Amino acid sequence: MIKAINLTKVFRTESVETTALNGINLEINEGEFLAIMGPSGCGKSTLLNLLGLLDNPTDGELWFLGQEVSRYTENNRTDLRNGNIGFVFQSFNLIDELTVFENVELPLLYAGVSVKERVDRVNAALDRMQIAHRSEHFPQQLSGGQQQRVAIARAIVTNPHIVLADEPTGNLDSVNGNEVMNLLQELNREGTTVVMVTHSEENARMAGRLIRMIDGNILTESRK
Amino acid sequence: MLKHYVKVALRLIKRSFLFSSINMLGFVVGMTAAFLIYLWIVDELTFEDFNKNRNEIYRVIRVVENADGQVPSTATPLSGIFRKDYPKVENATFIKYSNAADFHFGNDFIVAKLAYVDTTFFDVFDFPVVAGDPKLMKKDPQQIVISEETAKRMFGNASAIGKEVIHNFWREQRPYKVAAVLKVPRKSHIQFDVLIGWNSFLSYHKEEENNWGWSERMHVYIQLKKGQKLTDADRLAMRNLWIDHSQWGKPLDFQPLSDIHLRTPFKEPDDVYNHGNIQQIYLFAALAALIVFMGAFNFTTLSTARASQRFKEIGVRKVTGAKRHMLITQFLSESLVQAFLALLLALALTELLLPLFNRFVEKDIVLIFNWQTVLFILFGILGIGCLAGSFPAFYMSSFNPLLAFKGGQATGRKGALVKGLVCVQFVISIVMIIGTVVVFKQLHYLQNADVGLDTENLVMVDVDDWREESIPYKQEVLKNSHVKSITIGVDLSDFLQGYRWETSKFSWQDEVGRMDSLEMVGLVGDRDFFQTLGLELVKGEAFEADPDKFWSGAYNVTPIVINETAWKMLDVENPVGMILKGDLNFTGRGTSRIVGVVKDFNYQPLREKIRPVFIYYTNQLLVKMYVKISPVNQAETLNFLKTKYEEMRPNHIFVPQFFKSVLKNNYARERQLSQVFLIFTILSILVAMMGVFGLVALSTAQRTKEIGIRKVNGAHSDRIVRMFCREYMIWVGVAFVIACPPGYLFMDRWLSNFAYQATVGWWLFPMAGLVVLLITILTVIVQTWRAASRNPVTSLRYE
Repeated sequence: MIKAINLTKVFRTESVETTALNGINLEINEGEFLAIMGPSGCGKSTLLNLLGLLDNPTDGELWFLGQEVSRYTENNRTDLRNGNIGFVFQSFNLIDELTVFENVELPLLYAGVSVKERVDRVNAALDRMQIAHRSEHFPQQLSGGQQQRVAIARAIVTNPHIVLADEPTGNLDSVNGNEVMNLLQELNREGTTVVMVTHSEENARMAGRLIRMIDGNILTESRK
Repeated sequence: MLKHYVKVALRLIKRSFLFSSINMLGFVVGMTAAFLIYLWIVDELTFEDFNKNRNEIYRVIRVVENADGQVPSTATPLSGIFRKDYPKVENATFIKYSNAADFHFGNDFIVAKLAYVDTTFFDVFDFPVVAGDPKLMKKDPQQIVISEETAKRMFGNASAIGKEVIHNFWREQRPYKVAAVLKVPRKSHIQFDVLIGWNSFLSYHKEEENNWGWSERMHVYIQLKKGQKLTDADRLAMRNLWIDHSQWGKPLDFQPLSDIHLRTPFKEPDDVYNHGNIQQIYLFAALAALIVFMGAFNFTTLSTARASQRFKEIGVRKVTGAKRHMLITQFLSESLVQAFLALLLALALTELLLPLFNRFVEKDIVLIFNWQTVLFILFGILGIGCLAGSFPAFYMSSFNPLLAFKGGQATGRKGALVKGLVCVQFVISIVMIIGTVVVFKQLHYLQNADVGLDTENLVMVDVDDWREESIPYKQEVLKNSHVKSITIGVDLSDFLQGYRWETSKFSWQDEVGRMDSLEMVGLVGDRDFFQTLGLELVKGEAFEADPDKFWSGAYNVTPIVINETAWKMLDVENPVGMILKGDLNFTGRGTSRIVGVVKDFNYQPLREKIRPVFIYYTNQLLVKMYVKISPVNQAETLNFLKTKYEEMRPNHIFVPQFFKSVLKNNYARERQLSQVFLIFTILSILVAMMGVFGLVALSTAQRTKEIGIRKVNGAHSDRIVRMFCREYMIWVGVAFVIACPPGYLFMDRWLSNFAYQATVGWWLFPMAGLVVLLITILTVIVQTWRAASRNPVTSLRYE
């Protein structure tokens, strides 16, 4: 599904050049649950961003669903992301001015889905995340756990092939964190590919495959 | 999708109410000012609209050689020739203005503006008929037409139609019947109280029939056939019509009716009222546009500066599939929503301010929803919304989603633009302050300059040609110790409104026997003229030489007094006793002797330069009485003068005006301009400061962490406030440097309209900069002090 060959990302400022990814080779198959671990600054979030088509690599190849996408423009990447990739962030990243329903509806709105279908799909996603009773609330009126459930609902509402989660439990207490992890596991069981960056060994153990990174390189790789 | 955008826009306004209010307030102020000015401009541009044939009507103009080049008065028989000889001309007519006249009805009388018109007048012009039929004038010369206002003054609410009105013409009584009552629209250059048929005038003045000579205050109009336009060839063909028929003829030109109000390039006698000025329209339109732009700039700067608070949202939208054009549409629709709300508020505010505005510009504009209003609203929403929202929309939508999550891109472009726009606002404010001070200084100078006349306690009364009969009145009132002096002469408040035909050409032989000549303006006054008006003699005497011959005019050699300018131009050492040859304003007197020289004085507003003047006696043109009264018991003295006047001159009304206030009225145009400037300056400063207020509020919010760190490291609150102030001081400084040249240019060009100018010191420029600086610093201090004095721990926690 995703294949990275010699993937390199270098960040440059006027005087400093930082190599965030140093020739990563990685293949992710459909239906996998992959966890990425490593200390701060090791490049795991950078890798996730490249895999999620949020950024282009400096060098190397990146194949996504059979297309080489490493030189895609922002507009091409947006097209490819839409409906194929769902994102879950540590800080939830819900839009404060939109209700729960509208936040989840957003990807469908941009994909040009009809009103009726939007309503059905959003309600289904909210039901699945057990947050439908809060659909008219604004994000600030929800707890952290509830907000992350809304974020997951938004990530899955388009039935994406892959969900990318960047430290999804980082801002949550253990109870809510476990709940979120259970949801991700459940999604994976239903066939969605999940790639998760985490600091938590416990969360990482719930994944089917774990890679550890350091200084922009993959240090180890293990499977359950 | 649109619904989504509007919903988000409204929620955003609610969430960040302060910034949204500042954003919208700038719009509201700008649009209200623009709307008022727009209504005023539409009003100015729609003069003469009540005439169905307005596009086909032209006024016939006489081309003359003097300074202004054109005069609207021509000759009566021209209209008949135009009708007869030119197939393109559908109709022609004329109006001859007369002096205010007495009209008696029952036992009462009023003084009303009178004009004579020919029978086709109402075929050409469409004054709305309130009652009766104005065309009855065609059949019966005794039928007259009166204005609605005059009908009210005469008959109150009773019908005026068929009522008898007697016009007192000197000692003659001329009876008329009211044929119709008309509305005289404010937006008509032709204004009258009473119209009498030309045939009636001719029955009393046979000599005027077929008078091909130039007739004072006679305006001829032609109306072309429907849809026709006057081509250059037509103009050429009709140019010499008058010359062909008369030895007094002059070349003719034709002024479209729609040009009369705004584009009359020559000075008109005050028969034609309501003259506008196209330059003023341009100026006011430019001012309105500036205020709108300033409002829009506020929106742009604040929205751009606020972008950092929306990084997360932009990132999320991009990650969830929004393409750039979708975000641009969203941000633009947000500005459109704000522009729409602002416009609604502006419309309400306009409606609220309209009565005040009308009083100020002396109009009766009403807010009605016609195509012009709709156009304005559309322009207001789309134009201003897009103008203000474009940059933030394009800027914010360009963020890479990743950078957006991390807090935006590190580029200096945005900062430069925001600073640039704030600078532009400062520039506008500084230029406006300079402009306002210049206009106010000049106005003050115009109203208070020494015009060479003693204007204190001087009362002026319109006496409309009062000759020898005035002598007993003068003798009688001078018995009152509060009446110091009294004279009758020409109107010195604005002699002939700058109309320049009243000159005589004098010639004389210089020391070496060569003939020399000089054109001088002739002023008429009786022998008390000099003393009452405080004219200062610098040489010779003032008409004292032969007082007995004053009224009889039995001079062989007319004594004249000249002014210093004339003396200079005569270029002789002692002009007293000089004999000059030349007709004294059609009096037929050919030889004059200079008996005295007076110090220069202004007999016209200070826009005009003093020209060489001669003062002489004639029993014509004695139209204004000047009475010097004592400063005490003025009300009583005026009452005494009035009682005596109306007693000794029946059928005339004594309406006194203080000369000083009449002089001030000469500068109504400048006064109006100064007030408009003041209002716009205050508005521009207000809008600019709203922008500064918003920006400072934003930057203190964005720099909370910096403030906290500085404080932790030992900075005092005042030091932090100073840091913010310094930034804005630099911007004001840059704006000041940019503002000086346009400010100077404006000052120089506007002042060049005046022959006499107030001196404007260099201090005005730094003063204008300083005012803007002080207001800015004050705004910055108010806004930053709270943030700067906050506990640093709180500041850091916020971050």
